[in-house]
Amino acid sequence: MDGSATPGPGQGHVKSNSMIYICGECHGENEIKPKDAIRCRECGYRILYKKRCRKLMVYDAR
Amino acid sequence: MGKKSEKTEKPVEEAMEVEEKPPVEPEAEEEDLNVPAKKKMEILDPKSFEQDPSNLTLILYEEDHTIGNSIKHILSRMDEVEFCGYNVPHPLEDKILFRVQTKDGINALEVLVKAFESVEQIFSTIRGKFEESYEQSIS
Amino acid sequence: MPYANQPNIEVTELSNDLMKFVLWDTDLSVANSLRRVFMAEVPTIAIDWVQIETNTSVLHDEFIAHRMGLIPFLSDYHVEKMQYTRECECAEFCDECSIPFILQMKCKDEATLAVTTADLRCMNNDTVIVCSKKVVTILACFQTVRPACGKALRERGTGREDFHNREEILIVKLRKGQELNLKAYAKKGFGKEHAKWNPTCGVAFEYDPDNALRHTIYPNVEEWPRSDHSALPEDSTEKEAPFDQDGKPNKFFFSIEGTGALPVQRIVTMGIGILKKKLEELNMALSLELQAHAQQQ
Repeated sequence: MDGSATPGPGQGHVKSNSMIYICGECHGENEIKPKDAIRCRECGYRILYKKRCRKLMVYDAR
Repeated sequence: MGKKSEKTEKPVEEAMEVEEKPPVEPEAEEEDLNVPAKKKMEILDPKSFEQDPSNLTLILYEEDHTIGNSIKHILSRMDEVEFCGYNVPHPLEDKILFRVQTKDGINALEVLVKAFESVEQIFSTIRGKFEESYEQSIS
Repeated sequence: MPYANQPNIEVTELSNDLMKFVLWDTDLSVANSLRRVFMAEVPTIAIDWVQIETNTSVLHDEFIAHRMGLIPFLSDYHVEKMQYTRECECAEFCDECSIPFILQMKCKDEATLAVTTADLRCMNNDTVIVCSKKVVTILACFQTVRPACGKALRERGTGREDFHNREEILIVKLRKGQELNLKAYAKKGFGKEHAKWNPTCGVAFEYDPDNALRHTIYPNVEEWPRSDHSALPEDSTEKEAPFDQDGKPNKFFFSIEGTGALPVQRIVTMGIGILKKKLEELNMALSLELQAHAQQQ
């Protein structure tokens, strides 16, 4: 599966519920499924951040 | 530039529609539904105004103190006018109510036309004199 | 016109972004209409739609979108030719009602990168073509919508030094590795809809500088500064003129400061034009109403 895409509702033929998170220590990307341990695979750091979605965001400049 | 291609397609679509259904009327109707004619003003209780044209309450849409206050000022100085005033019913509604009571036998709408013309005249004078003075100050 | 008196007006001070004038022989309501119309109904151009592709800066998307909206744009050449989006015939955006901009910045150095209005690129075709030819560029400076600051102002050549020193407006600062990538559309609008379209940054008028009408009470008379327009003698210790019972405000001292989006005299002429147009429209609607009721009677 495409590792960089954020799974959205009704999007993509393979329904995957994994998400990409960014490690707070080594900034590496981690793919995590529900019930996986919240832990960086590289350095073991336990603070992970959600990756920004790739969808274009539109704002009113108000 | 996906928009451009959309634009070029539009006239073709319209032309096709016309070919399919020759009467143009339904299209015109559709347009009316989409863009409701914006009314600039409305007489409140037109029946009572017809009975007594000296008594008028006018709703002005999309207006505020900018117009309301200067019209009120001119009206209040007119001899034909018994009473006048304006009111902003609610700050979230973009309209004002204008109340004019003229002396017996005088049509309030006609008086109001005169008031609008007077205010326009005032601003014309201001613009003329401003441009004159501005030209002088830059030369 | 028996009820339309003849107001007078005189410009007393003029610079690129400040104008002072005196208006007399008219009513407070007329002066106030002018002030209100300058602030709320004179149209300018400002960014209204922002699409953010990447934003790894320290400011969140909404914050940046809002900052983009508040940038003043040189509107005098374009604004009167432009359409309001709601009145335009296009579905979403077109050349008639919007101007596209892009901003693509990434900090690759150790030093902090300041992203300013100078990095904002207008996507109108005519700008891209003329960039290489200098003579045409000067013409293009007038014909394209650019931020009302820094380089854009200098290239325009207003002829006044003080106006040229205006720095570029800072949008966001980027650290090494941070990136900002966005597209934006500038649109025509007026201050009544959102304050970012307000062409002024301070319109005020003063009347009765010596408080002869007692419309106000000085809380501490001794500390009250004398107005610049005071008619009291220089050496007098009086703070107020004697109470004038039957007096009415008659002379109005206006001061208008622009944001740079429009030259100040344009704000005044456009404002009065808008008032006149409004009154014309109202009069048209009124005569229609009059006709309708004349028929029914």
